Amino acid sequence: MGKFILQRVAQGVIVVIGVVLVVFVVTRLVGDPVSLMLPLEATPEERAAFEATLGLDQPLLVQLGDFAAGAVRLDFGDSLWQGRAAFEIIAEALPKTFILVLAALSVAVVVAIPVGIYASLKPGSWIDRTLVGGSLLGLSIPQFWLGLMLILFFGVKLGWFPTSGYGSWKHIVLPAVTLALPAIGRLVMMVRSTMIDELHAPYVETSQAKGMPRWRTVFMHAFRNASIPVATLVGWEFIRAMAGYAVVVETVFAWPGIGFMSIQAINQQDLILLQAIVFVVAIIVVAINIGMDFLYMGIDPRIKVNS
Amino acid sequence: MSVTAPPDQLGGPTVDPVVVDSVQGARGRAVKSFLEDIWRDKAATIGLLFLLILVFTAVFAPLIAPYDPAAQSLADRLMPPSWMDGGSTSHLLGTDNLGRDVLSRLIYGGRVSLLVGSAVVAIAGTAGVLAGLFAGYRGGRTDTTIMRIVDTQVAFPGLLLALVILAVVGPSVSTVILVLSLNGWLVYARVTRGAVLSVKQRGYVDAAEMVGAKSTRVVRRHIFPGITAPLITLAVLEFARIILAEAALSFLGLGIQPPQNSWGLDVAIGREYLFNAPWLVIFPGIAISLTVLSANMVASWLRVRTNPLAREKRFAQDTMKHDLGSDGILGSGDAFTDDMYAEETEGAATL
Repeated sequence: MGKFILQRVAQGVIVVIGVVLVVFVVTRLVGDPVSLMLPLEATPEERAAFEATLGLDQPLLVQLGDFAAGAVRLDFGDSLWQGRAAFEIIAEALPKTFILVLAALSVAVVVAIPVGIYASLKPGSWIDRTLVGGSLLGLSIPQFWLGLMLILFFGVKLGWFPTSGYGSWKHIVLPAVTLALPAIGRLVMMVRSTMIDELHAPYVETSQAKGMPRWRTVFMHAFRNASIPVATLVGWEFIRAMAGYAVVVETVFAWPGIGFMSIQAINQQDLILLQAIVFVVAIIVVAINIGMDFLYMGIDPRIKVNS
Repeated sequence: MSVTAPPDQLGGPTVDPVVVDSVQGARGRAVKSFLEDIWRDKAATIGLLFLLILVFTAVFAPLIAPYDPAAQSLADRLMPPSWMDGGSTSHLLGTDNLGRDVLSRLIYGGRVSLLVGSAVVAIAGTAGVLAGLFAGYRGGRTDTTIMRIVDTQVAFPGLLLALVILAVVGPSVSTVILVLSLNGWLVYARVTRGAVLSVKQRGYVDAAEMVGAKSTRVVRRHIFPGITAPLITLAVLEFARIILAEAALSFLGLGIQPPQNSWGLDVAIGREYLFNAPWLVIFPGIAISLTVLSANMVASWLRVRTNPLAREKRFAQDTMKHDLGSDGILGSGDAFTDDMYAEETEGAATL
């Protein structure tokens, strides 16, 4: 057990180092951060001074070392765009992204599990086909477009919800639904598929034969077993949202989370903030991955650590 | 075989007519069974037709599009679609903020989506399948090394890194293809490796090895044909995912750049006019959705066609029960176990 934990953590550290390496190699070696961040008319002296203040004149390894030394103290340097600590900006934005993602995943789980179970009860029926078709549609619509359509209809035409920004509970409804829809599509397919497997297992027949009510078989037995792959997928959706989809949805709704900040950092050519965000997101993704592994061992005693 | 073989039209050396006939017959039967099978799945038929039409309009865009997609006409700017007040039949789907014809831009925009989608599937697919074949067939240290790289990269925040790379390197069609390929090979490697591992245990592979076939021949002739079915399904699914990804990158301003046009970019431009000219956003979004939905419907039909277990799931009535269940005839050592397919969606990189 202890060895397993160590292994997973070590693997996670490698992932984070890999991400930082990619960012450094791409920004320092492939691109030229100084000309990206300074205006074109900057004099060579200004460029040199700017390089020196950011330490960009140092060898790559030294820069990496400085970054690592700062990162362990959560000191990523000052954002060029806002002129304050990059970590401060992230610390403000991160909870907002968490709220959005959690709201979206709650919606997704609450909708997708009953729908998926319902579809699995009569595979091949017209209800099942409709639900499967609807799920396919849900995961085929581009999220940024869905967001704009919701803004147009519920924000402008009906005026039920604000079109963008952060504030009251009303602000979260449209972005959360936008973030949730493709996840609902994938989850419904998954719940349906695993539930069909479970409902055709011998233990279901046994419990039916001894007279257990259908709902009890479905929910207490079949769904309990189906919940492990479903939990895996929910974990993946969390990672997907944190590591990518949130950028798109937050940009559409100007939701001041970490995804919106990363696009701002790119537009403002704020390298310091951008690399700090990527680092923090990488750590979060790794942490969720490790957390999921432990969760399985908790849920399913059949999963052996040593195998 | 009562049909007389066609005379040798090419004028080359005469070929035994019976052989020609049987080869053509077999091919004809395969095509016929393919068509019959997809016809039974109406959604997939419509999806396939839509994709074929899309390819056609993309290839012949200059002949089909009523206008040059970049031709500006400031007098006609923000003209609504023809069926709305103020619309005109000269611009069926209206015009944008610079008076460019929306329909023509849609037709040309399909080119970029198809180009990026197929290029990434080709590049990432080749790289991933080769890596997976190596890992699965060689096993041992090769396998561990390759799969460790895959596992590490899967845990990367894919879209975020793609954004950083595009921002630094400069967005363009080729950099978008590059970035999405870097991100896309993982899932092919995983699925290929899994399929190779199960096919490798088959008797005919052992037999080929014992007869002394070289390993390249074993892989090419005996292993690869056995794993193509899940790979084709995966490629179609990935095609759909890549089109969505390209659209998202272009929407964020880090994909296709003007003066080139793409559906995602058109949505980004139209967003400024969302409230007074919503058609600028609505039509490109519908184009993306229909394309991705079509590919997804074709993929789900392919999956059912090549995976007996999924076929059972699709058409199962309650009478069939568990005799085809996951531990039944199709034991879990089979190349087409459901787990492998689950991995396709699960392992799909985060974009």
